[in-house]
Amino acid sequence: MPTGKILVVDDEPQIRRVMRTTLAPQGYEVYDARSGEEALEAVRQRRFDLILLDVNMPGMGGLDTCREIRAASDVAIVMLTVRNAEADKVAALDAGADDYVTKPFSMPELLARIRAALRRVPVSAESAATIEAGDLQIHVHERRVVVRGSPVRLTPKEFDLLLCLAANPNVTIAHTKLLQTVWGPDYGNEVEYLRTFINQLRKKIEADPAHPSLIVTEPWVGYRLAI
Amino acid sequence: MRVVPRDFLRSVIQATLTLAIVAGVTAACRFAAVNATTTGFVYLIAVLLIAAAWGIRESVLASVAGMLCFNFFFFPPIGTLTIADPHNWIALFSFLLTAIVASELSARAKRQARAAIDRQRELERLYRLGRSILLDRGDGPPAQRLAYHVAQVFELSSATLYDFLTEKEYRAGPDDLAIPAEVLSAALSGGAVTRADLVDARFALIRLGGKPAGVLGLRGHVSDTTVDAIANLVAVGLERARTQEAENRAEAARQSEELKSMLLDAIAHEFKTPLTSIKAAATSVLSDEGVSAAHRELLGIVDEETDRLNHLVSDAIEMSRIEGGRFKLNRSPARPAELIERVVRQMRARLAEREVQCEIEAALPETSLDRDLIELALRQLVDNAAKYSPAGAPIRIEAARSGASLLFRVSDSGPGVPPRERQHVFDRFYRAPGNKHGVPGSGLGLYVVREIARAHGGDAALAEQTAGGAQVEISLPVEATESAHG
Repeated sequence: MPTGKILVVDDEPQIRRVMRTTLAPQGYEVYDARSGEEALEAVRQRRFDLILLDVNMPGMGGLDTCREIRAASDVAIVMLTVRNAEADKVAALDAGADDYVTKPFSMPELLARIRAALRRVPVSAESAATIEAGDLQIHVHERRVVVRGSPVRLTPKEFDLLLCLAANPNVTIAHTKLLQTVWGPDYGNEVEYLRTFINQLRKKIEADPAHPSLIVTEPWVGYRLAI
Repeated sequence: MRVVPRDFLRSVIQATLTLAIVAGVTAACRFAAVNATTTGFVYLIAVLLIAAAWGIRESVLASVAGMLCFNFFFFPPIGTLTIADPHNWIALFSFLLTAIVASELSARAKRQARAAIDRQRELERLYRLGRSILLDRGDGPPAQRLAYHVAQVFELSSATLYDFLTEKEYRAGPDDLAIPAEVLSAALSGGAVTRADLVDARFALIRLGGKPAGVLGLRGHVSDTTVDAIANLVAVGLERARTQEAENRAEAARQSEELKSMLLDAIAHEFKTPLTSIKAAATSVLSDEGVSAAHRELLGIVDEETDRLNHLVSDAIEMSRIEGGRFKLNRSPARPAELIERVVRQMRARLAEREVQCEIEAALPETSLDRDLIELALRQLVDNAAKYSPAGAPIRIEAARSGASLLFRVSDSGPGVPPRERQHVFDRFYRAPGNKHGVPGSGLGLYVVREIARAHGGDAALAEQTAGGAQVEISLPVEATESAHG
């Protein structure tokens, strides 16, 4: 039985009702907020494991709310978008969401997305405690990253992605493999996730994000961590 | 000609004064018994002063009168107009010549000064006209405003601007000056715009970008060079007004497009919100293992129909976006087989009782395209195939490579498209005459399919009919997709 605190942010009462009714029996502790402003308030008061955030809300929109929450916290965020357009999805990921679901969605799909967002890549006991790659130090067990002497804050998904690349340095890891390791076995075609998350990682750890030297793109294949 | 009497009166007064001055000089010199040489110089000074003050006419009068008095009162034999000494003849004519040349020079200087003043005043007015044209914020047609400013600034009795664009005449000023038809036709054919019989009116052609844009007619006191300058200013003003109008129109179009797009988003949101609740609730119950088989079947119908309604809403919104002509392609590399697979999966309920034959050529390359739009186009074609063929008849979906193009072909085994309708089926809102009441539809489907294909640099067409049924093909150029990959 999964556990965790979930904050449902949607201006539509019926959707909050369905979520609460469905998520609670799954073992999640459900809280809700009617607007972006309320969500920010709730996040200040309590620590959540995951936030389900509607993109289209009056007042402070979902994307702004997402950015604001992401600036202060690495909680998992799944956005609910209305339009099934590529640009909207990329906007959601760029705003800092870990995943998105297009409305209307089926409940099993949403539950799978929630599990994927809450999922952490397991660290085996025999794996190295610290991985070093040039200026980069990854403290695996503490889930901590230090770049050029100063600590860097990564979201859990960014950390897992980096860890997945660092587990086999200098080896190109395929898109599908990365997606399935970090998000879960249901994923594999969502190359745009990787593009967005790799860009965010580069911004945080590369000396010059426009000319990456640590995380190298292998066109059509995948990415590798160059040491 | 009501100004003439005043001029005449002034001439008479000035002539009288001239004669009086000459008489005064004569009397003074006579009384002071000055010698002839000195008297001559005094006359000369008087003539120069008169020339400077009044002009050539008065100064010539003074010269002649002075010469006569000089002869009569100062050259012996005094008291007659005869001259005894030939030297005195020379002196007299030298005096006359000097007086006339001097007065001409002085008058010319005066004329030039006056011309300079006139020129300066016209320049000032042109400057003011330029300012009023540029700062004009008035209402009404721009040509009307321009005519008004010209008449106002140059104090003309009439200024008329004929605008070839609106084919209307705009008049300003106390008199009404109509521009004669011959002038207009001459202007349109690029000829000279003058009229001998309208002496007091001047016409100038207004050109915009080398093409005749209008004719300006003026009545009042302005020089020819100024008329040209006014015409140039009016041309600038007209051009500015037209640019402004075009910008306003573009802005209005943009705003209406924005409004439409906002409205569509609002509708999408309004419809999708309840659909989301319904689907979430239905699938939530469906995923419960304790649900009976009958309930599972019924909830399955709710779920599927929610999906159908959702696709209808999405497609309707997407189609009206495309129909508005403003959409951007969001290209990403896609595999044709995957697209077809997704379309068939989405239309599962619609195609439930049919055989769908998919023939996808092996090793088709990934192609850079807008997945959402191409899927929409394919859904339209499959939906059409289902609509226009008997229930249960098979539908074929093919994908193949043909030269530098990727080809999608959807075929049904219905009656096909009658020859006389073949060229119309892609028209906007076209519906086959016999079908209007039978089969539901908007007449947008194939139009949108073609718009999507063309936006990709390809096209959509009916294939040559081989074995009955309709066959629609979408061809897309295969482009390198390397750049689309990060």
